[in-house]
Amino acid sequence: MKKFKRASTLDMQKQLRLLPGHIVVGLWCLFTIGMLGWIVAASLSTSPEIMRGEALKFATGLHFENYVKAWSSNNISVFFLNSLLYASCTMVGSLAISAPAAYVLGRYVFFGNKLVRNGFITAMSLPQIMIVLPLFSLATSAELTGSKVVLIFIYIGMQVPYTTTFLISFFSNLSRVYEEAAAIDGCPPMKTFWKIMLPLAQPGIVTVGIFNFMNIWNEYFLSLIFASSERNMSVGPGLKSVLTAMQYTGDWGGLFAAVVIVFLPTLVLFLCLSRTIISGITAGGVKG
Amino acid sequence: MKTSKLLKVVCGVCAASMMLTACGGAASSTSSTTNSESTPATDSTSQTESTGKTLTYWSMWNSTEGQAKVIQEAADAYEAATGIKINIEWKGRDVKNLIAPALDAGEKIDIFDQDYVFISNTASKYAADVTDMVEEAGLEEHMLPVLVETAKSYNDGALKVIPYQPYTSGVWYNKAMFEDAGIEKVPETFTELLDVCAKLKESGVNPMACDQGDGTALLMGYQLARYLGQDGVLDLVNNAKWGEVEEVKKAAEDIHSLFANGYMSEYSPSNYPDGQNELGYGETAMVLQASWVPNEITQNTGAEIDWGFFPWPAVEGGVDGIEAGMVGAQGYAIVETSEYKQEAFDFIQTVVTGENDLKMAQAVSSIPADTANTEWPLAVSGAEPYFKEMTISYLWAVGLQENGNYKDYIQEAINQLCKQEIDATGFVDSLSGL
Amino acid sequence: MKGVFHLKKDKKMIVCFLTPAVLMFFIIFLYPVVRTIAMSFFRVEGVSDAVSTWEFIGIENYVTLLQTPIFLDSMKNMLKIWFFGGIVVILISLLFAAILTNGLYGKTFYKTVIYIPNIINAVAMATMWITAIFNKRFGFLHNFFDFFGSDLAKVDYMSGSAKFWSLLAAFCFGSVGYYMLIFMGGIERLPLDMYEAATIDGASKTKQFTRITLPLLRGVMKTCLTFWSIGVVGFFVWSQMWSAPLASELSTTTPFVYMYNITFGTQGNTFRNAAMGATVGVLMALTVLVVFFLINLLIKDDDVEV
Repeated sequence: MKKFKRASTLDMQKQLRLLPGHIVVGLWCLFTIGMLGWIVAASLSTSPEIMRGEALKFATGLHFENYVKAWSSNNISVFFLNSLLYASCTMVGSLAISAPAAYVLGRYVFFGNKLVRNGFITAMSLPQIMIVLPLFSLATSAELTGSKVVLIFIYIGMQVPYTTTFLISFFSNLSRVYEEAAAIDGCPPMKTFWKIMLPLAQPGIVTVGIFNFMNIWNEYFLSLIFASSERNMSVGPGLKSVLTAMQYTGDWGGLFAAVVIVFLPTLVLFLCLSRTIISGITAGGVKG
Repeated sequence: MKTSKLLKVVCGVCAASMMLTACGGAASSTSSTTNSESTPATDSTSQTESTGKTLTYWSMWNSTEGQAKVIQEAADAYEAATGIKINIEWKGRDVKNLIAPALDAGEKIDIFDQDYVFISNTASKYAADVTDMVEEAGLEEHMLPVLVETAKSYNDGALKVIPYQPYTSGVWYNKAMFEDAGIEKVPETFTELLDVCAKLKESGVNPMACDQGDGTALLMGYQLARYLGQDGVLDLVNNAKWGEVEEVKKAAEDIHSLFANGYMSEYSPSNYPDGQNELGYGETAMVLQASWVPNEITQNTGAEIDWGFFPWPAVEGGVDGIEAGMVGAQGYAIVETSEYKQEAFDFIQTVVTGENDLKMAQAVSSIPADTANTEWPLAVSGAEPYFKEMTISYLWAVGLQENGNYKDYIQEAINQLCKQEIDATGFVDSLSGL
Repeated sequence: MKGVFHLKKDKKMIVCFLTPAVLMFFIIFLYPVVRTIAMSFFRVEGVSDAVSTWEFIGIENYVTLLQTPIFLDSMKNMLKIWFFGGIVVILISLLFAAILTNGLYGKTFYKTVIYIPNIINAVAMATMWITAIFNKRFGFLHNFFDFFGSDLAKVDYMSGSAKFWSLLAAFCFGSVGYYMLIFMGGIERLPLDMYEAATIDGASKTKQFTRITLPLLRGVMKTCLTFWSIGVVGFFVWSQMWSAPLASELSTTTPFVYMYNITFGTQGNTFRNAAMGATVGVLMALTVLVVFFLINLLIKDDDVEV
């Protein structure tokens, strides 16, 4: 907060002194925006135009039909909805499992508390390649490889350690007063959690929920293995398959439209909630 | 307060997405039925009782590709005629990685497709022997002999694959550019090829282009095979004889000279598919690739080129000449554990022969699989006379990509040679050091 | 009444609340880890082969793997990504964090834009880089150097030895935002009075940064290095995107890619070897462990706990 005040006093002289800084980060930002802008421009262009480096000229007008094509015939709609399903189910599922766990871990002293916490932290740093093979054999022996359920289940499980660890600090920082008051009023502890403590931890829950959503939206490897057929694919491998097909069909405009459709949801989500997300990273990053 | 609204929104999105996906599923199934309506054959037979049988087919195509559309139509027509549903899972090229673990795990799959050598060799333990069914249906006379021979050679004479979408390979060129440069005859020896290159360069176009990866592997592979033959190259690869065979250096020098003399476009070897697309932009005259390349270039660039073809030329003192070439095909496998082998076979037969085969060939300018379909699509028709005369068939990239332990090293050395980061001596050194 | 039953009820609650999470942990993490470790000591062809078909071979998988040149090269690539990429990403994000915490106007805008690459799907991001930036016909770098008439316009970033570095550059670019935010969080938590005292003593901004900020950021640095190491071990999509349409390429392959290829059999016509994949997994986990140990050994976390 103090810093915020410092930055908001717009002092021309000071900003001038900081000009080199402005230039460095400004160029970096310009580059990022330029890249995104080019993709959007190219998504409204045609293959020959893009190939000839004339994507920005729009000599043949704006080709919005690229989006229609990408959405329907390139199957992006299927991947998009799958990802939406995976990401939202995982978000809700992992929160439902993690929030209660984080609550008891953060607020109660009991045998094994430290062990569970350490177990979760270890799980967070475990390379994915360490666990993926047995999961695959589990899924196949349960004859579940072709279904969406198995992927959602794995995603939820993968997110539990991170979500729990993130939420522990939020719960442990809450005041004891609430629970004591609730207990005096005769509210049982479990009810206290759902009615009072959970709503109090909402900022943390929202932040970690968004992270989970984005993580799953952008996940690649597990989706590649566990959701290999087109009707189950998420946007990552789906976009890759569009890219592969594109090399045989040459529809670059459609490809870029697909790229835009894939990154737009997370981008919009991020731009709307950037303050929550950014403060979540700075807080979570330091603690993690 | 703001956050609690957010939670509600998030839950709403979640619920909406579930509904949408449910709808999506329904929508896609209806779309496949609308497809079937468009096929003329359906109308009369659409009343056929469903037998309740469903075959599962893991396809190597993406549903947006031309091949997929033809296959989907064939499946719909088959269902309409027999009441047997073909459930097609569009897996894309990753099916190569996923098929074996899935079958090991007992997943119910009846049909899958892949490169026909992959099926005959690596995946042969999963593929049913179709020799008898092929014989009974008289399908063999519709198949290209060279493919059948190769496929059988892996399994002691048993046929485990039904090939379709055959391809050949060689140099595809722009006829107009050859005319402009005053070239009347296609080259038959490597020296003649260099002359042709020189003439093209004089006329102001890039003689050749190639892409890194398969493109460069084909160049080196062909040149090595012309000197040593298929068996000679496999001997090199499997027994690591790179340092002992002097033809390796000669072949490397030849390929290096193409780049060093400026006969390759300045961008070559490029990132796929930029190199082959140079033909589409009218910058370059020739590319060495398989017969799918004219279609890809047309699709990518919208160019309409009058395509010419000649096989990779012979070399002085070499084993093979233009009678040998890399040919191959995709192939269908019927899974050994399938309950419905005959039904699967009947379906496959409708895809690889007759009208559907012709449709497939026209859709993607590929070579017809059915030998009874004598008319080749215009873009690849230049290869037809050579294809018919071909007596020796090479593996893909002459087998340079066979050995998993060091195919990446061979590829890396070839790429460096083409980038002129190393010369022929460096090429031999880096490979004999393995 | 209430007081008497409080503890008992709590116990019930602890069990109820913790069980699902712990159960998930067992299924998704503990069981797979144990099985992967076990598998690496057997001969197993397919991932889903029944345990009864496994054949115990001791450490043979490890011995073979450590003699497989392609695996060693993939390790080398990973190490290069970790080392060079790590230096570049940490330095740039530290620099940006320093600039942005210096009272720059428009700080929120800058950090939002810099973070954007992190929230975009890696496949989409890689496609953008490969086409918009590195394509040598119409990419940004081509046009940029072409504008100045430089010969650099003809460099092909997507082939030969340049390929690895273009991959690294794109990957690092996307990572900067995340680490920058972590550093910024760290800097903003530092006690302000120290800086005020330093300013009164006449210490320059640069001096304040190197003398006060950096030493106090050791804990944050440790976090960043840890996250970076975990991220690099999971390097997969970018490598796949850069080697497309081939499954993998020597210059951009990583152990993760190698594991995928060997387990699912993309290596030409060589047979699949799931146990070898498990062995790669165990070795990667060990690598991460060693790195953690070294980081903890080298960087003493004695800064102010916030």
